[in-house]
Parts: sequence; structure tokens; C-alpha cells
Amino acid sequence: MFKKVLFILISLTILNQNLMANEQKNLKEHFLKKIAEVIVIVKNKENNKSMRNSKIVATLTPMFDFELMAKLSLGKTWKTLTAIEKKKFVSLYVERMKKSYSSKIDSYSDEKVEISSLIQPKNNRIKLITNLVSQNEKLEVVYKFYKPKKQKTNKDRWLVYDVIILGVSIIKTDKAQFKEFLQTNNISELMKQISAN
Amino acid sequence: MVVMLNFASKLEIDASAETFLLKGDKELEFTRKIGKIFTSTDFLVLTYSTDDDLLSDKNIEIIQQLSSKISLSLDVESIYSIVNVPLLQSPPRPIKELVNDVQVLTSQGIDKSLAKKEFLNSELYKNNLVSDDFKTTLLMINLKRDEKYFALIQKRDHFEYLKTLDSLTQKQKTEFENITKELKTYRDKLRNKNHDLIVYIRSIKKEFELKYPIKLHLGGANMIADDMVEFVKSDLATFGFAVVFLLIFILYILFRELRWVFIPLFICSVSIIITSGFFGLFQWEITVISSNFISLQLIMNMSLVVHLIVKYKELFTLHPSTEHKQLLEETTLSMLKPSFFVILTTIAGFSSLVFSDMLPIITFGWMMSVGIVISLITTFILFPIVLIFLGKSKKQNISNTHKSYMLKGANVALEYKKTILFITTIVLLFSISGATKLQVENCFIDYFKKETQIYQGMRFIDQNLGGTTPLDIIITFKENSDDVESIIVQNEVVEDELDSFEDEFETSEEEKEIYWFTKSKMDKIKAVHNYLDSLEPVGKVLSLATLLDVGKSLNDGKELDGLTLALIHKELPIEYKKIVISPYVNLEHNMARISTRVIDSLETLKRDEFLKKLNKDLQKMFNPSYEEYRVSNLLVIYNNMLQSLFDSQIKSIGLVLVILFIMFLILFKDIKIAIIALIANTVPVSIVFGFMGWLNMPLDMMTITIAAISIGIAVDDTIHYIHRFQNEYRETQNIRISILNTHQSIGKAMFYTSTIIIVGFSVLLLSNFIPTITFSFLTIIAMFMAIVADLLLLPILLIFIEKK
Repeated sequence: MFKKVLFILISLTILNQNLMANEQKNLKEHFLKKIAEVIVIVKNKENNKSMRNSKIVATLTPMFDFELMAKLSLGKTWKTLTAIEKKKFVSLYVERMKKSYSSKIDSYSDEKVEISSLIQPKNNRIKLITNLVSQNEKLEVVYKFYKPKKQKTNKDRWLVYDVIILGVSIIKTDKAQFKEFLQTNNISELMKQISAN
Repeated sequence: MVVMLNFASKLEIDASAETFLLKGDKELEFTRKIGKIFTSTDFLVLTYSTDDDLLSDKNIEIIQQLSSKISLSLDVESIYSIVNVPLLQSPPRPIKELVNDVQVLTSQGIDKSLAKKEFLNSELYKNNLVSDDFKTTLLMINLKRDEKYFALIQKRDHFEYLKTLDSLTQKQKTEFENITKELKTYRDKLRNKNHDLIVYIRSIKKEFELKYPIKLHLGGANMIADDMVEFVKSDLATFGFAVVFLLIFILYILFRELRWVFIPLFICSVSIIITSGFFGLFQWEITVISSNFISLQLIMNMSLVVHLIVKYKELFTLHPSTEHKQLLEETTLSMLKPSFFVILTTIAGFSSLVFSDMLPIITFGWMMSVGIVISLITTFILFPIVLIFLGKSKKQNISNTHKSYMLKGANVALEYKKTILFITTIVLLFSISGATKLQVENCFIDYFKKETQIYQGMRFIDQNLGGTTPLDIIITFKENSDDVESIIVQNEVVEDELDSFEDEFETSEEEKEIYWFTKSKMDKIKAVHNYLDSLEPVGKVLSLATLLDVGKSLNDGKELDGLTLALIHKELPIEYKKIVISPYVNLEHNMARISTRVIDSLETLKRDEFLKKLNKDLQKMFNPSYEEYRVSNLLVIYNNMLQSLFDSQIKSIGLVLVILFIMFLILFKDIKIAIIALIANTVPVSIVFGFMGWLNMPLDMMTITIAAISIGIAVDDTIHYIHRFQNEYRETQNIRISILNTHQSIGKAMFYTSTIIIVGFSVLLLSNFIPTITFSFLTIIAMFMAIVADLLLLPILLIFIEKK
């Protein structure tokens, strides 16, 4: 009896590991595919700047859970928001995220994206460690993915919820900003500020 | 004498910032703390002017040579100049690229016309590193921060604090003593090092100016202190002899006998040597403030001796056949009482200084008190002894010219009472109106004459390179309060998904620094920066906002976001971080520093008013629950010191007048006469303030002691006069005759003393050091008015009470 249980347990673990390995492989491939798509858009000289940026945003948006990022960046304050405020905040945040992403693309020159490693700390979390390689340097960018219980509409299965550039987390940066701003201001002022920038 | 001479040789002159301090000054402590937090070091500034193109290969090479030569000194930490500061906009590059490959003027392929544009337009460098006409640049010579010195200060301050609590154990007391001694020795060592460095840089400066067609100026707070000491020393050397020579001359003119030249000079020298020996023994250092002690002691002592001489001659003339010894005995005994009171009242005058909070002023008060007592003792011991050795004078009488002048003076007083009273009223009105115009200001540049190197250097930096006196605003952001988050909301929905991420985004202690650069903080820093920039007296303002501004121009006009700033902070190489970030933010202490330099030579600058306005305006800009600000650095320290000095002086003048009044009462035993004596003394003191007010001489740390000094001087004459008058009156019972007699006897001695001192001091008007000029000018005024008031006003007042 005991042997049976042990056998089942071991085979389940192996199966799980296989599944995980599979998922990791898929994610890597998917990610590189997306990057390749972005590079094609960037290199296409026919696109003007705003066309190019909107195409890139359209390509990348399914990979990002901006909504979750918005919530995370507000921390505990999120729970204090009314439903209307929540909705408004998310839409403003998403808009800001896209804008900021676009401006980062503007400074893109000939860097290549390489995946250096992948860590899966939990079943539903993956850290994809990449390097942005240019002629004379390497820049480490970590994408944090999670797998929602249910796939969200128009979204990938695995979604990015934080990006860490050289050890600096986008969410933590925003969280620190918002938290401090909210010490002396209320949420509607924060939203005003976000939309102004 | 030999022992004292030995101690006197150990007497030191110190003008370092440390000597200007208030006891336990919180501002100084804070400024020191800030210096440590922002690793700001002392620095010297060397300006470099050329008519040629500043960025020519030749000039770059000269600046490099200059830097490397100065860097040879072990006391120099680093030198910033146009050659090695980071060029961020030549040409503008994406920040990402810039951070990883910072360019300087000497980097390969740098476009000099772009660099010039950057130097002239970048907030970081314009009006700071280069002048607007691009003919001048500066080399900022950062000196090594001496941690041992600051550690010693910290230890000493700790013990001093314990001492105020009365909780020093015996062991700690010994330790305290040792630390104080060690600190002193160490400070002396540092001071010498600083002086050597300045001499070294000056020699390099000379060498380069001879070799190349350039003009260099050396400036910086460290130099002010060093130069002051040098000026004081050179004054002592140059004018010491001139004063002595003039004294010999005038003593001979007045007494026409060599012994009366020798005796006063001998006695004064002995007193001064003994006094200096005492100071050496007590380790009281001569500061800029007490540098006048020699002149002052000379005045007091000369007055004592001259009174004795005149008395001796008077007795000699009256009783030519009396024994020499008896003559001397009578002279000393009759003069002992007034002299003793003269000394007591002078001490009372100087004791007002002891009530100030400033150590060098307090020390100066003690120094003068000790000096005067020594003078009294020395004079009354040496005068008879020396005269016994010299024997009885052969010349029996002196010319009566001076006597008849005195008689005329007395007659003027008796004849023109109304005119004199009228003039006195005008003088008092002049004094009062002048005194209301008195200002408490401290402008370092004004301490030096226009021709001096230090004046030219400081003024140049002041007007072309963004001001000289440092003033900082320190913002402390309080630890993030969690109040905002603890709001309990009724309709809280449980969001499992969100909660599972929560732990991931808690910022750890180590990470706090990375996420420090929030928009709220940046906005606050920018607001304060811009506010300071808008103020007229403020020259260059540097802060994190400067970097933000440069960053904005690199970022297509968009403000740098928190992420970019965090990345810059993380990735910028340390040598450039030291220039553009570390002096302005300290993440560990949650502090930002907005560093400015105030234009010291701005004539309309009223420092105290300016600081008050600054504080008032800043108060409105801050929310004390989340952020605090504090104004600090040199401008605040000096202003505080000056204000507290002013307060304590004004308060203590009242006290001194009360003490004087009580002494007059004890001495003259007559309330009316005591009141008169007080009035006669306030005239010379008030006119000193009147002159200061009308001539726009500010009350600063040098001139603030003048009230005490003029009381000390004026009181001498009054006591001598009234004491003699009372004696005369007791004999004659006739006020007119008493006045005439007093004028002819003691009046003559007073006239001699004043003449000697006024003539002697007039030499000091030629000094290079403005405080010495001011001091001697005001002393001459006080001296002159004292004698005029005592010889002309006092008799009238005496007649006035007699009539009543």
C-alpha cells in the first residue's frame, strides 16, 4: 500500500515537473516571439512614430496585466477605493503605462533581447530573466509572470505583472510614488496628476 | 619675567571658525552633522582668468598642470575643474547611454563648442564653474575631511553636555580634560597645515601667473580665517614698532625728559609680557577679537603711568626739597585709590563681555580683566622702584604751556556753559539718531581692503561665480507614515488575488534607497530650489533639482520619472555621483540638501531680515507632519552669533551702567556726583555709536566690543577728575577754584594720556585690516570725546549741582 502511494506521489511530481518544464519552454518561446514581432515593427521604416508605438503597444498588451499592476501599485489603498474610482484609476494607469512604454521604445537603438534564465518559484509564478544587450553593455531586465486561475479575455495565459530593470521594480517605484503622494493628497488628486503626466 | 617671557612665546593666534562659536551652538552642531552626512568637505577656490579661449588646448593643459601640482599636497582630496567635471549635454545623449559612459572635456572626440555651450547654459555649471563672459573658470580644491578632528569635537561636546548635567564622574573629568587638550593640540596642527597649504597654493599661483598669461585668485572660507591671522600678525609687526616710535616721540615732546619716556614704555612692556605669559600659561588664545588686547592694555597702562608721572612732578614742583623716597611714597599712595577704582570700573566695563555667549568674547573679557590687574600691580611696584634707581630728577619744573592750556580749558568751561550744554545736546541728538541707524551685519569681504588679494578674489567669486557665503536648506522627509493606509473602509471586498501578491511588494529596508526618488520629494526640492533662486541675495543654487533640470533637457523635455532617477542613482559611476548627487541627497537619512551661496558683497543685504523672511516663506511651503526643513551653514551660524552677541551686549550695557553707578557711589560717596559721572561717561560711549550709525559701520564681531572698551576708557578720566576735584573742594570749599586746580593738575595728566593714545593709535588707521582701522578710529573718537566731556562738560555739571 505504502509503495503504491509513494509511486503515485513520485510520478505526480515528475509529471508536474514535466508540465512545468513544458510551460517554461512555451513561455520562453512566446516571449521571444513577441520581442521578434516588436523588432520587426521598430525596423519597419514605413511606420511613423505614433503608428509604430501603437502597433507595439497592441502587440505587447496581451502579455501584460496592466489592471493588476494598477492595483498592486496602489497597495492597500486599492481596497479603499469605490468601484467607480477603481475603474477610473485602472484606465488612467493603463494609459500612463502605455505612454511610458512608448517613450522607452523611442530610445531603443540596436539592442538584442536574450533570455538568461528562468525561475519558477511557485506553480503560478515565473521570473523571466533577460538581458538587453547592446554593443558595449548588458542590461538585466526581469519580467515577472503569473498565471491567473482563469485565463482573462484577450490576454495571454501567462501575464506580466512587474518588470524589474537593473533591480528596480516598476511596481515598487510606483507604489512608493503613490504612497507618498497620498500622504498629503486624496485619490482624485492622484488621478488628476496621473492624467496630467 | 623670564618665565613669563617663555610662556608669552607660547601665546597663539587663532582665527579659525572654531573661535567664533557660541557655546553649545546648535546650529554649528547641525551644520557639522550635515557636513558629515553629505560628505561635504572644506574647500578652497582658485579662479582662473584668461583673455584667450578658455577651452583652448593650451588652457586645458595649464589647468591640468595646475590641478596636478596642487594635488601633490596631501591635504587635497580632489580638484574639480572644467577639465574633469562630467559633460552631460555635449552632445545630448539618452540618459541610459550617458550613465554608462560619462564624458569629460578631455575625452576623445569631444566637441568643444558644445562643451562651451554646456558650461554656459547648464544649470550645473553656469555662473558657478564658469563666468558669464567665459573668461573665468574655477578650480574647486576639496580638502580632506579630517575625521579625527570631528571625532574629537564630538567627544568633547559629549563631555560638555554631561558637565551641564553635573553628571561627570571623576574619571570622566580627567578624560574631558585630556580630550580638550588633545583637541587643542590637534586643532593647532590642522591650522598650521591649513596655513601651509594656502602658502603652497599661493606659491603655485605665483609661479603660474609668471609663466602664463593668466590671472588667478584664491578664495574660500578657510582662507578668510587664515588671512585674518596673517593680517593681524603683520599689523602687530608693522605697526607695533610704529606705535612704539610715536609713543617715544610724543612722550618726549610732552615731558622733555628721557626718563619719562623710558619709564612708561618699560612698565607697559613688562605688563604686556607678564600678561601674555599668563595667557600662554592659561592657554587662552589670541583670536581676531582679542588681537587688540596689546593696544588696549597699552592704553590703560599708559594712562596709569602718566597719571603717576604727572602727580610725581606736581609734588616735586610744590616741594622740591622733599626726600625722593617720600615723594615717591606720596605719589603712589595718593594715586592708589583713584587708580584702583579706575581699574575696578574698567573691569566692570569689560565684564560685560563675559555675559556674551561667545567663547572668544568671553575670553577677551577675562583677558582684559587679568591684563588690567597685572598693569595696576606692575605699575605701582615698578614705578617707585625704577625711580629709586634713577634717582631724583634734575629738572625741577616743566614748561607751563600745558598748564596754561588747561587753565584756558577750564575757563572755556566756566564761561561758555550754555554753548557747551547746547553742543552736548546736539552731540547727544547726533548720537541717538545715529544709534537708531545701527545695524548688526557681518560682511566678511568688508574686513579687507580693496587692494588685498583676498578682497579681490572673494569679490570676484561673489559677483561672477555665484556668491561666497554658504547657506543650506536641509529637508528631512519623515519616514513614510502608514496612516493613509490604515483607513478602514466598510465595503472592503476581499480580493484574494491581490492579497497573494502583497508580500512581494513590501519594500525592504535595503530597498528603500532605490525607491526614494518619488515625485512628491522631487517636487518639494524643486519648489524650494526655485524659491531660493528667485531671491536676490542668493547667488548659485545647487540641489537635486539641478540634475533634474539637466535630465529633463536630455529626456526630450520630459521630467525624469522615479524609475529613471533610481537607475541613475544606481548606475552612475561613483566619481560623478560625488559631484552631482551625493552632495544633495542622502537616502539613508532621508534628507535632501539645497545648497546655495549668498552674495556677500550685495550692499542691500540685511542678513538677519533675509533669514527671517526665508524662514517665514519656507514655513508656508512645508507640511511638518511629513517633511521638515532647516536652514543651516555659515550664514546662519554667523548671524546667530551676531544676534546673540548684540542682545547680550545691549543687555549687559545696562548692567554695566548699574555697576558703574554703584562704584561711583562707593568712591565719591555722593549720589549727585555719581549721577554726573555716569552722564559724563555716556556721552563718549553714545557718540561712538552715533558715528557708527551715521558712517554705516555695522556692529559686527569686531566692533561689538567697542561699547565695553569705550566705557573702560572714558571712565578712567572721569574718576581721576572727580577724585581730584573732591580733594580740591575739601580744601578750598570753592567750586571755581577747585575746577581750575583740578584742570591744571589731573587735567594735564588726562590731556597727556589722551594725546599719547590718540597719536599712537592714529598709526593703526594705516592698517590693511579693516577691523583694525575701525577699532582704532572708534577708540580715537572715544578717547577724544572722553577727554572733551571730562574737561568741558563735567565742570559745568559739577557747578550745576553746586547751585542746586
